[in-house]
Amino acid sequence: MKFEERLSEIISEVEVPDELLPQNIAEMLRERSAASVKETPKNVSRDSAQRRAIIIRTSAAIAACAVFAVGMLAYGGEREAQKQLEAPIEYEAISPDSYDTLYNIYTGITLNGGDAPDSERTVGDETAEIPDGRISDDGTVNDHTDFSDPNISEADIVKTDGNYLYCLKGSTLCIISLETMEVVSEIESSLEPPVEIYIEGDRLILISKEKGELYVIDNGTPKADISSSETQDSAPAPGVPAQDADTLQMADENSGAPEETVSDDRTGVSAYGGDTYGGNGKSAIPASSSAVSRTNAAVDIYNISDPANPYHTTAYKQNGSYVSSKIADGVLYLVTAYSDYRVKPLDAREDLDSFVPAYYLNGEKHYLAAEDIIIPGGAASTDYTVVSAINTNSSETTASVKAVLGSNRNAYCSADTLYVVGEGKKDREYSIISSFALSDGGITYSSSGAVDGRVLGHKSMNEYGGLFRIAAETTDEDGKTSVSVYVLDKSLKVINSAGQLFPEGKASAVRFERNFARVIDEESGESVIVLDLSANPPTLAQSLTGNSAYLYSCSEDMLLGVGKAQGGGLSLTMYDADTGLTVNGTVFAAEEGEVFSKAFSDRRAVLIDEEKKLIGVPVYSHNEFGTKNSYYVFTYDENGAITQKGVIDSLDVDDSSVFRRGSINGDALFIVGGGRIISARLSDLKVIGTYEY
Amino acid sequence: MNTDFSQCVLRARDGDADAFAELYSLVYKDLYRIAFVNLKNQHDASDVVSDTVLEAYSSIKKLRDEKAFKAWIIKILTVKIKNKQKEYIKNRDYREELDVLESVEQERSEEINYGGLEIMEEFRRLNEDERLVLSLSIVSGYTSEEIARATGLSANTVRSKAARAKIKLKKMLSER
Repeated sequence: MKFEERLSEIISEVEVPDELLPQNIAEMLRERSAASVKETPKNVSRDSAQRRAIIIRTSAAIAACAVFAVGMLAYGGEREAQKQLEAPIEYEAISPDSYDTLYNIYTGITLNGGDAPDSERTVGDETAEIPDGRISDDGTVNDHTDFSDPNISEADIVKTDGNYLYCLKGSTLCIISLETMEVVSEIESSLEPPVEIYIEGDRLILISKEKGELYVIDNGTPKADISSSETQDSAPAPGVPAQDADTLQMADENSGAPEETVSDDRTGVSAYGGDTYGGNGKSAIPASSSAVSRTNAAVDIYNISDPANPYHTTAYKQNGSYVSSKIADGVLYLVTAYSDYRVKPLDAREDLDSFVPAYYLNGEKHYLAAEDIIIPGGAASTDYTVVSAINTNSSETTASVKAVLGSNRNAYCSADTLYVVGEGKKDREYSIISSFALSDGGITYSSSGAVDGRVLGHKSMNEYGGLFRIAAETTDEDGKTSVSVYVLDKSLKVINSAGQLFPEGKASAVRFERNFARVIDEESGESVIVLDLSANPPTLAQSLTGNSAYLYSCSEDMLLGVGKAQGGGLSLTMYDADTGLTVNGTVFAAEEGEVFSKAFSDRRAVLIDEEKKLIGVPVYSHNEFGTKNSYYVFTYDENGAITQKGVIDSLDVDDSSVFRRGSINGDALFIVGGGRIISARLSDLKVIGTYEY
Repeated sequence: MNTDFSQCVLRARDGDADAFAELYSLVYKDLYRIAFVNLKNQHDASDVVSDTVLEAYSSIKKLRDEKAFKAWIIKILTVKIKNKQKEYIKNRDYREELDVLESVEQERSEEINYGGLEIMEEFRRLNEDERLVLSLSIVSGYTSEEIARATGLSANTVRSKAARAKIKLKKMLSER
């Protein structure tokens, strides 16, 4: 099915509410004509309700952010820096004491189109604490995690343990002997193609995504969670496993709608679910049903003590799309974004599936306890960030899970802290930051803070030197946007900031590297403003210019930028990590025409070996013969001088075998991509062999 | 256009609510779905469609060509949607840097198997103009010229926005 057709099909599934049906519209028009009074139908109470405010910090007027405008100086030229003191923002966070309370808050947000109801805090609650929990965190993909800590493992599509290569290819994980370059075993995933893998000792951890939808019949009664074969008809006690599918199907039969129950048998999915749409799975869905989101991230753990005979030990999954992960001390921290997309009103508080995230451990479904859900004050959306800590060390895997309401995907994880950023709105938009301490496989809420503006995305935040940095965008009354950059301390209090940056353009992100913040122009993809955050207030730095998507640490003192060269080819620039100034100029690797590279969108595609002082960059370009794949290898010295060591080329008919990763093992270089491995001698880059898998 | 339709317009001009409802029945699904995919939630979509209906009903006397009813009411809807979007201050979704460098290879993928919910989630991350242009194209089957008339954009701009929106959408979906 073509993309447009699929999109059209999806939109056509959106149901029109009863009040907008033609027969009701006629009635409305008659009433309006008679009364000449406009009113909009609302059928759900805006009851903000009895929340037991547990937390966290009193409405301690936040971080009034003194925002210093420095960008104007550099780019406006004539304008003076101005100091702007914004009004306080309320960011008090609570944790509901029951699903009823959560439902009321959740419904309030839905009805307000983004405005959470005012919090009603109970006297004395200021000193209450969020129960200790074990939430997890995020980590891996691209910029979500700080990997400067050697104790943190990063997931990837290719891993090696020194003896074997572990490569993802479609739905198959191939384990390949580095000695013989033969596939010794394969693991087939029944879910969507696996996303990433970890190798932790004798365990292989496979992360996949599972597409699934919960179908809801017209009367609002949930009927089947296709992805899991488990449904919920009534609210269980917090943390209590949900009923199994058989029990619920019986209940459905008793309710008179058995034929509308969709079971695994009908869709043919495995115990851990499977794709239910985009293909024939859709035909099993009754026409009268509608859907709410149930995409899951799945974690499968295999024992690979004998790589030729791996076996499955643990299955875990949680609601939401995979955002990122990391492993620290044997604990997998997993973050998912759980969006509230619904085509029908939320009208059944007993239907936990419609407003409470869930997770599954070895097939057993658990809803998050209400007290494990954190709701920052002013939360303006019903999206969740779900975080879990999965202890993979013990023989019996355990998981602790928490969620933050009002945020989606914007998460960042340092070695010991997870930051989740959500949206708030009262009289203006702001970003609410919640931090969690990660230790001993648990996750504990730490603190909350807020900054003005809408966060620019997960690529616009990080932690460095114990300080959290974040960029947000604000829009003035005329619709013009500008960017602000904030530095917050451990208690999430703003201690440094710069505002009104790049008002003449549109920033796509602000990248933080070491002490620098780079404002990236959406149009050109280049850094247009660089701030030195070591000064307070920040100062403009005339450095780190160029179009490198990422900067890579090549040593304590040097940062590498990799980008497209003007006129074709690749450019590499080494910067001084302290000053941001270019050292030893820029090296160009010439290619005819425009080059593409996985490195432009995925930080992990660039190989840096600090010990051998090697840099590997995969690129590809198109010519009349097809696709030219090239793997460039450079060396650099202690002064930052870069020299091209060589290039390995492969001319292919199409893009199916684009080079994606390079890996060094001993004296050999392995280039992996599209089911092909090219091995080469590191000393002279002579190709030893090419292997298909 | 058949006589009944024209008669409905004439009756609606005289304040006949049932006649207006008949006209409305031809377009209400499109109206709601366009509003739904362009706004934050179903309540805002309902509000905007209700407002559109009220304005159309009160001003249908200004409709000179009854054949243009659909285009006319969708134009009213687009204005309402834009007004509602202004109320948001700006769309709430976070924005990530969208690297279009690899859009070429994304474009080569003809078979799309993404789930509906994923598509809708990412659809809402498009910017306001892109959402509006794409939804008008897909829901109403409008040509670039028709969308241009409804939105006040030029036809060329509509085409480029629609193309960019599709590339961005595919890119966002591929990165999930």
